Amino acid sequence: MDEVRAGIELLFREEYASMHRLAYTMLVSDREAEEVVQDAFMAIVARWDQLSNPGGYLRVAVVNGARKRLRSRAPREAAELRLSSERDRGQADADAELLDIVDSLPERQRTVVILKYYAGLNATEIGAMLGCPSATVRSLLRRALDDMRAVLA
Amino acid sequence: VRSETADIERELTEQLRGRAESATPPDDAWRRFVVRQVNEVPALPRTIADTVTDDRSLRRWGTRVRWIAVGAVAAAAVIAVVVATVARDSEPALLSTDERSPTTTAPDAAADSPEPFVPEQVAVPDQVGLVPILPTGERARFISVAVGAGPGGFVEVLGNGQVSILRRSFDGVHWVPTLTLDNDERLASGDWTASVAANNSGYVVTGPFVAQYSPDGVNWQQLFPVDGTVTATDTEFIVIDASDGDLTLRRSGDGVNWSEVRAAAHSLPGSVVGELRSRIAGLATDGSTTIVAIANQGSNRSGQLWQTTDGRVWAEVFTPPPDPASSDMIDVTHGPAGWVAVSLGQDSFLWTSSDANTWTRTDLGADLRPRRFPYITRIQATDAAYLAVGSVLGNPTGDIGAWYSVDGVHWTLITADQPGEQQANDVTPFGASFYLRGEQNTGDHPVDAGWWLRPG
Repeated sequence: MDEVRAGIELLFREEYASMHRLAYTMLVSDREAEEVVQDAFMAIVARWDQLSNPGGYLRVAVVNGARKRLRSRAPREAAELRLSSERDRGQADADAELLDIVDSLPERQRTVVILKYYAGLNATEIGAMLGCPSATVRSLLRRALDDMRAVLA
Repeated sequence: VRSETADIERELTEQLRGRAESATPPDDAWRRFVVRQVNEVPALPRTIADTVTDDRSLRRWGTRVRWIAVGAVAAAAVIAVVVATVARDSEPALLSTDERSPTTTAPDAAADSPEPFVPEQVAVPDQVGLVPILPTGERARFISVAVGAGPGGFVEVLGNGQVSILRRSFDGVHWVPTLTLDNDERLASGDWTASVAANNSGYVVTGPFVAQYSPDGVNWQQLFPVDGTVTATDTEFIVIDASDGDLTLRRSGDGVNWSEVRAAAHSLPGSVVGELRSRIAGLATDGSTTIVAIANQGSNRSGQLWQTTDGRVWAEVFTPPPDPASSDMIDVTHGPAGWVAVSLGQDSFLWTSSDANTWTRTDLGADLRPRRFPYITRIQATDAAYLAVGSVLGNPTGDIGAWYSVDGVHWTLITADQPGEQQANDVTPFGASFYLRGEQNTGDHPVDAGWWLRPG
């Protein structure tokens, strides 16, 4: 049991901040990001003995948790959340036109864009997380970039 | 367009990193996590809470909560037994939570009955072309990644990255789940997706971790660890496995008893298999020669085709040219006019060969104008024809796409006038027709999708 405790605590201390940032990038809400990451760690605790790669499982659980919340949101909610969050921080949003477009993309496109351009994953790795072929990931990315080009044109 | 795209990609990376840096994780996240465990996980809190050694009140409070939790769990168990008793006849046996529910679970009385599967009773549309099977409209938490047709009907694998579900259908419309696998037993994980092969002996399914066999598509038996793919002739199953960093060829006449031949150490460069991002993407045989398509996606090296006749000695026979930086091999098949392979760089290309050694790029046949991009995910062949399936991005009447050819050289693009975004992820021959499975995206949510293709 000591080993389990030590393993979970080590994983938590090593991964919590980066997982929070990943969830925040998707959700633009510190509160929701914290809930998602905590949920993911709870899932890890429940099946610690069965996991050969807890870090990989954690990331999938965080992404899936964030996706679930995104799906339940109204379409413009993410963009409004971002604006309000940045206002609270006193940040300028003049350069955030691309993020506006990202936030208005359908959930799957938004997720693959963030996993590709923030998390730096390739199409195969994203496919592995979302459970779809890499061709799906590539087509989602291409559609998203086409949309961005069209909006920015 | 490519330079614009590169600018957007660069800017996106910068802005997303900027957003991430503005996140403020709570300082006491670990403490909150411990408290939550004390509340929610009766089995672990003592050890976890012990790590917060300087907070006795937390531990005292945790003890009280544990007693409350024990009472709550006991009450919940009683309620669960009552509910389970009531719901026993209507719940899918293998799927206990909402997250695990597959999408198309209309009751399939035929699948549960002892009646044998009768292929002639499957309602294949008379209409020539690509005919959508109406999606259920339910959200696809799981995506169909592989399908096969055999003596027990249609079998497909659904995946979501964490869990895989095998299910069976008599009519290609209504499905019944038969086996759920997760963690290190799952069959689908992105590109490491399952493959289903079937003949009169039953079905063999492979994925990135294990192989499964079923005589009827309902009762499954785990065979052996595998990271590879499977194909079938009328009399034999062939599995190629790269799970231990080398190639192993396994053969079986009945799906239960298998022979095994390992590649001779000198026949394969060590860099071909066993790399983090290399994998067996496709597999085909003409009865004597076996060809595997090896993908190296994510690395800067292109994929390759390798061939063997005995499983011991392998030879590289083809590497696709860069497109623009590298190209991957996606799949390979053998049909009436020889071998056909699929590569994917920026777009998909088809390659043909009559002798497995010389490969020629073929014209995809459609008037693919700029901004229409072919993505081929699988290719299959019957004795009479080939069918490659995937999607055509930018197609004005819908994305679903299938390329049909009888000679492997001249290809006809077949699309369906269907709104939304679609993609076929796998295809299986069924008589003279083909049965396609995949996904359709409407708004935020992908939904289950399927198509029949009857050649003209």
